[in-house]
Amino acid sequence: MFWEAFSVVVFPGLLAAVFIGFLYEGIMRKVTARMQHRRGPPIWQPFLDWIKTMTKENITPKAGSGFLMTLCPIVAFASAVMAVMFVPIAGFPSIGFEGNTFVFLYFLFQSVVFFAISGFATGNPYGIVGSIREIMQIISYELPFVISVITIGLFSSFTVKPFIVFTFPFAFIGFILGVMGKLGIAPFHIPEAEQEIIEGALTEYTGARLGMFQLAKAALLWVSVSAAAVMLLGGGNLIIFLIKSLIILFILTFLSNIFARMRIDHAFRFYWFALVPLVLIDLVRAFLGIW
Amino acid sequence: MGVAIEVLKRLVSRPVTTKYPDAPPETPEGLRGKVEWNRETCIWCKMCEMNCPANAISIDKEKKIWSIDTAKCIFCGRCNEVCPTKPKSVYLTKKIELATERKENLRDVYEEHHSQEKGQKEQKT
Amino acid sequence: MSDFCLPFGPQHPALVEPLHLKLVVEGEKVVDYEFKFGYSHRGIEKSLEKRQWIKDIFLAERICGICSHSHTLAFTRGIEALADIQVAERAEYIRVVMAELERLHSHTLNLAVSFHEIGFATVFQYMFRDRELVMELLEMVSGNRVNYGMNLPGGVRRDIEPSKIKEILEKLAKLEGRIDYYTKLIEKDNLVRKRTESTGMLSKKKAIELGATGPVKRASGISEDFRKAGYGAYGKISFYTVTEKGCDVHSRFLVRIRECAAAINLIREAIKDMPSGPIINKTPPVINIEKGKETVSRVEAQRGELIYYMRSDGLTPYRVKIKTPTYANYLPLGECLKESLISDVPVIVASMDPCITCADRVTVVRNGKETIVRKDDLKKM
Repeated sequence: MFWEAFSVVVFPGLLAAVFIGFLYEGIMRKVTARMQHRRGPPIWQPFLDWIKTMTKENITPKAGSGFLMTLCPIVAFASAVMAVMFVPIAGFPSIGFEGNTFVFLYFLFQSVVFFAISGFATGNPYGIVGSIREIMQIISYELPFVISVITIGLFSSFTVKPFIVFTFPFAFIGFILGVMGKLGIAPFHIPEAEQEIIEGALTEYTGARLGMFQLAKAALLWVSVSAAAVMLLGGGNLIIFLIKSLIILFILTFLSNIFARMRIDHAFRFYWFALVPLVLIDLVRAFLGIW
Repeated sequence: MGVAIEVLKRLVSRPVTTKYPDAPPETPEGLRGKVEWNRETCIWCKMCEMNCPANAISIDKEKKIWSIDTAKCIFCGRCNEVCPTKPKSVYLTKKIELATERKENLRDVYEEHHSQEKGQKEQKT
Repeated sequence: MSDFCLPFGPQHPALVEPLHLKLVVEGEKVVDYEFKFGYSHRGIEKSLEKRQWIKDIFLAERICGICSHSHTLAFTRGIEALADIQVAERAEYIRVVMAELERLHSHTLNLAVSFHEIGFATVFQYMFRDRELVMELLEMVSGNRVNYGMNLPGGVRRDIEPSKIKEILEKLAKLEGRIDYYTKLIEKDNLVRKRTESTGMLSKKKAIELGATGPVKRASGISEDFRKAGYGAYGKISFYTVTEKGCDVHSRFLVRIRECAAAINLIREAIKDMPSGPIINKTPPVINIEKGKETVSRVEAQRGELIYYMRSDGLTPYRVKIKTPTYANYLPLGECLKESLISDVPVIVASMDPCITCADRVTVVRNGKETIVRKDDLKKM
């Protein structure tokens, strides 16, 4: 009982999602800065940002719905934390039953969907455009992402198996690119393209609500990176798991630094017409048992 | 692909940015910084006052007061250029960190009775 | 849905300066647009009339931070023409060096910002790092990083000594390698090409019709550069102008980066040919010009052709009318925005290299309300 409670509240649940998520974000920012030949902020900068955000005033715009604006960040954060409970990290207890992968996918999806709804809730033109883009992006990346998760599931019978990356390279690529779309990091930072639509869906958010969204983003990063580490690079004890997730984090950071932002129609075409055929190859291979 | 290689190269090289307030910036010779005045050589010809495009310099010949409002100064160096004395009575230093908390502090007033000690000045508030 | 309005500015992360663009959008597509100017009108033309000629040079310099040397160049050339002042031979070459250094720094700035607009943060940072080389050179030569204050009637105020020439050549060699790198990047990088090719089309016919100028015009396949008229020392130095035929944002990128390479060559040529001698023919600090004398002074600034009309009133100008290149490029900008997507608006605006504050010359207020000036009203004036 103790370990169950521990896994929900401390690791890999709530506290880990917040703290390690922020830490990952800090590492990403630092590594990005070094790649861009500058010093960058200290790696605890996301914490400081969060603390400052939480002290700010909550503003509800005239056209917005206060209830929805409060609900969205909470659900987005809670769903992301729930999703991490389905990832078997280094022997910590996780929720395991027949088809839990689909519940995991559902919670991840729900978290992102509430990010999308948040823009409509504000009634701000930038928020609405951001929300439309977010939904279009979900439609784009969700298909190859789900196909690659199913491929991995078929191969491993939904248990932890090592190094899928060599057996199913396309599923690996599909998973990583899907995660990039989900997290909205370059070249897929289309819904929050600041040069075009300020901050996208989150334009009108301030104070504690924005703080909640920051937490949700950190939790999403944590769950995506650890899911990728476990599913793609295999299990191991805690230290090996952390090293593996840092490798995934590095891959994400590296990819985010070498591309310009895509346009939403390009991104859609890329996911559906370039990536889906590739991941389908691996799905067929997994079905026929060729590996 | 050029960017990918460059990105990895930069990851292992030292950053080019400096820790500015801790590490002072490198300034080249002849930088146009804060304008200062040397009363020893001044002949009170008022050339600097007349030629200042921003009207930052004001001179009171009777009371022997020379003052400059750095808030108005545009650092063009025209005062130094037109100064007829040798060495120049008005000169540009390399001081660039001029921010203060109060606007009055930007006004430098050089008065006669402080002339015994060279370079000393009084800041009126 | 067609009445869904997306404001672009006056405060917007993609704009450094206050320009209001009202975009009517359908989904991602821009259906209609409306410009609104006048947020940073400073009344500089009026204040120019109240100062002496030489003091005006320093005021004209402050019309624009980026093309400050071009503004003083145009203004001083105007004064020289009005007062019949001979320019020192060496000064003409130093002016060319400064103008081309400024072109380098302006184009690299604009390209860096353009990369930022298409979400390529890494190249943006790299370009700003490499632009620092030019900034250091400008600082070394003139003593200031912006608003160099180099020009006076009859010459320039600071000389480029041999020790400085050595450093200029060293840094230019370093920069040249980087410019090559960016040229390749713009030509080859897939995503950059996808984002910029066939966006913001401005056909050759439209470019002439709407009076585009500078790199925008050259990117539409029209080889026009006022430097070819050979003002100053340009007539004595061999140089080439760049044109592209793509008519889109991508060819504007290419024109700018190739002009950087051309500017480096030009600086080298100018330094090689630079004669020795005095840098300035001394003029009195107060210039008196015969009343009613007038002139038009043109130079090729980085963004296009900069035109000064000046009329003398003795010790001060009677009227100075400035036409900045950005002003000429507003109508082409509107043409480019037609049928574009929201995602392309920032990069199209950036590709025009607008300097909004330069172009904010007049706001017409009638009965306490801002009004739109039509063509007929202008004819009446």
